[in-house]
Amino acid sequence: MSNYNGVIAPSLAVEFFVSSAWTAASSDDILEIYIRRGRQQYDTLNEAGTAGIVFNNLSGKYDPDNTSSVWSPNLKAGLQMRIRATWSSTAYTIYQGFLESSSVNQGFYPTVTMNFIDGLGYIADATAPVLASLQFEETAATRVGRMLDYAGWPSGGSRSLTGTVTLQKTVQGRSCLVMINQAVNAIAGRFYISKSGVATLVPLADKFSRPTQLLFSDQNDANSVDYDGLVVDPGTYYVVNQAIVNRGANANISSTYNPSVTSYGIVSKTFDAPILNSTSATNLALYESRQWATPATYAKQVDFSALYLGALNPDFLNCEIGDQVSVKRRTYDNRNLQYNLVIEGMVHKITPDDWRVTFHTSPINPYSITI
Amino acid sequence: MPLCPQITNTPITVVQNSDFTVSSVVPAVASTYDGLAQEIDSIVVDIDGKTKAYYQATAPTGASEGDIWFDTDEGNKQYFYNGTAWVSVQDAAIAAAQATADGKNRIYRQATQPTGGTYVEGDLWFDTDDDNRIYRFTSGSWATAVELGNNAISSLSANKLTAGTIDANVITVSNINAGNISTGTLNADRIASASITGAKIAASTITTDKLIAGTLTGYTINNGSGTFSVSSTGVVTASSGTIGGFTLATDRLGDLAGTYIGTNGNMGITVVNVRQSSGSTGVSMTNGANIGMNGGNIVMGNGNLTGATNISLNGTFTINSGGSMVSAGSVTISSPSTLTVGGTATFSGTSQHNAQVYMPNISSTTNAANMRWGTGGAGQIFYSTASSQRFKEDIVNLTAVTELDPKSLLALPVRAFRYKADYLDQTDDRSEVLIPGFIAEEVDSIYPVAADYDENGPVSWNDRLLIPGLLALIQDLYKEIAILKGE
Repeated sequence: MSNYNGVIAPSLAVEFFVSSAWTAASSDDILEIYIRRGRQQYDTLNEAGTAGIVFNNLSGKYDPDNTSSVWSPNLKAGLQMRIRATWSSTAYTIYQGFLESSSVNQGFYPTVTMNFIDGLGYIADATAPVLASLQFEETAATRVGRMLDYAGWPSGGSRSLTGTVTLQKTVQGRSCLVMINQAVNAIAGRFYISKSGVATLVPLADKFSRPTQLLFSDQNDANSVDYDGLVVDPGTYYVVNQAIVNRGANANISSTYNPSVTSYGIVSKTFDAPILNSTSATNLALYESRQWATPATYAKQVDFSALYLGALNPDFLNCEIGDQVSVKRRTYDNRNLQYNLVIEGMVHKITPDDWRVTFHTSPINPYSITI
Repeated sequence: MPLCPQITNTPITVVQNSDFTVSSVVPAVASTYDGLAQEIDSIVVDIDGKTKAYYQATAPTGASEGDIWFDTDEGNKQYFYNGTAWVSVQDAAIAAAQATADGKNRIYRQATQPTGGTYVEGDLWFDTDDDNRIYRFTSGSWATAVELGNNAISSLSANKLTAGTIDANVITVSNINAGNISTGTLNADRIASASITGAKIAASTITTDKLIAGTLTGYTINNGSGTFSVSSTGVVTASSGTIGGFTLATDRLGDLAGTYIGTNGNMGITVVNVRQSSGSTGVSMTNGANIGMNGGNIVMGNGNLTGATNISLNGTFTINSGGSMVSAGSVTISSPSTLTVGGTATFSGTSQHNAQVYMPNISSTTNAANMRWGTGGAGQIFYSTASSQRFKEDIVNLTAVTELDPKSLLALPVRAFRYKADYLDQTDDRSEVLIPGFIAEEVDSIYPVAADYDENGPVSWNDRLLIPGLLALIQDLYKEIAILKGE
């Protein structure tokens, strides 16, 4: 992993949380790192972030059954791990999760592959217990916080929850993640586990305050990153011009944006959002029926190498789900295209030869409303 | 802020206008879990559009043949509509089970006697406002005083006994709290031996007739009528008898013919060994007391014999190797006694002149006095070096040795001076008197072999090394005079 020397690319460290302290594994033992966070498309649910790390196990110390290992007996499910990249003496956490399983190759070139999952996986496994009666008329943020409590998620700095729309009472009895997604729908916001392990709920307005972290260009623009893969979508596939806000026992609200229906026919989508207030539900329906009603070609995937980013390394390492990027492309027929995008998910594949990164993106849209 | 250009995403607020069609619909069946929870009170389900299932408390109207009704206020009892009326389709087994259940005894727990119901032999009633008294329904009425046989209770916690009296004849106690014994008499046989402490006995209540044997421990035995008494102040009085083999007399402890200690301070002792016990500081004597010895020795091991007063010896006083004698005062050894020191004798005064050695009646001799004082600060006494050739080698004439050529002494200044006021004792005859002599530093520079040194450099000149040079010069003078005289 000689490329990760703080010059060609940031230095990398895999750290385990043992005995109440983060302790780094030897970087010489790391053969490969694979990280996947977020989602591939904006209209799908966020998936639990996963990481796979392949260790050289000639020393035997990454074998969970080796009681003589310096890591024994900590290499078991639930062990906290984080991956940090250091550039110019500043460390950036790019993934934090929990050990889920280990695969030990005891062959002639012994390796251990550890598979990690971030907090979203733990939350998805938790269920909000059935209540004896309808309870808790509360804001989206409060409800998400309660779901995190059920999932045993730590409080304090491990949470950043914003969402003021009031939700109806509930008898619960469903997956905590389903309940969280209802709250996310109600505020037209976003919920994710940050790269440093913070459960984060942001409202609709958040999309107007996110920085543009990187400019991808094929024209050597200043402060731009070269890319080598760009997948675009004409956008017609994601048209939604009718939104139905399903509020449960309360009246459902349906909004249809007719100009779009004229061109593309009715494309309806139902949002499970038990909003208490009818006006708020109506505003949500209006917003959801409008924001994707007019399609535009956008880039859904950008591929690039993270070697030799130089001064752009801090911006790259700070990239978070929901942040913005921009892609410039001059076509062979000499058209200048620019796609302004939101990062929906990211994949890192780090090998001794290269640090391959894929950003899954969605188009920025300007529509807003107060819910 | 990131280095790349920032995208400006200006918000466009969605406003409800004619482009939108908005409607509000209350769903017939809620499509969410919570909606179902609210609407489950009454459910009607169509089956193939023909048969209906009703789930409600009252008999449905307008039913068709084959419809099913769950009577919710009758335990969801099922009915089948035969085209004209609702008929029960309850499972026969359920009816049988109900009948069996109805035949079982019931238990009532209430404040008033159960009435108006159907009661069977053996039903029980716990009267809650009469401390849960148990009644049994028998022969058509509620009978009281239901007793529970021993076999009905397998284990009863003592915590449940809070009032009343338990006959002691039926109680075997393994652990009883003494604080709960507050009346009656406790048989002495029930008191364990050696278990009563003095704190439990009132003062002045034990008489001597209760003491038959054993040891009496106390600081006062106040009898006073016998030959041995101990007063209340701790004075032991005895005028006869013995203590540990010592005869008691009015003025002594012990027999005058042997070892004794008398009231006059005399002590007759054949052999006395004074031993130092752990923590002891040894033997001390008050000022003015003497140890008089008529013969015998004081032999000390590793201890010190230290006294601010005089230690007078008429015999021999010997300090063996490793020991020392330290005295802040004078040490006087009267004639004709001898002081023998196997090691070093140190006379260290507290100031420059008060360390002195007096030998007033020392013998005179015509022999060479060979004792010399060292020039160093230690003030050691040495023998002068001997002059016999038995102790010498490389013997040559002095004038044959260039660096010892006595003619260099002709350059040695002969000085006059006074010793500084604090150097000589004020009683010294030459104190503050101008006297002749040499300066050690000048001797060192001209004839170094005759200079003596201390840690600060030349300190004195050595007459035993200067005199031979002077004699050699005189001899040369005599030779020259003889030549001049023509002799």
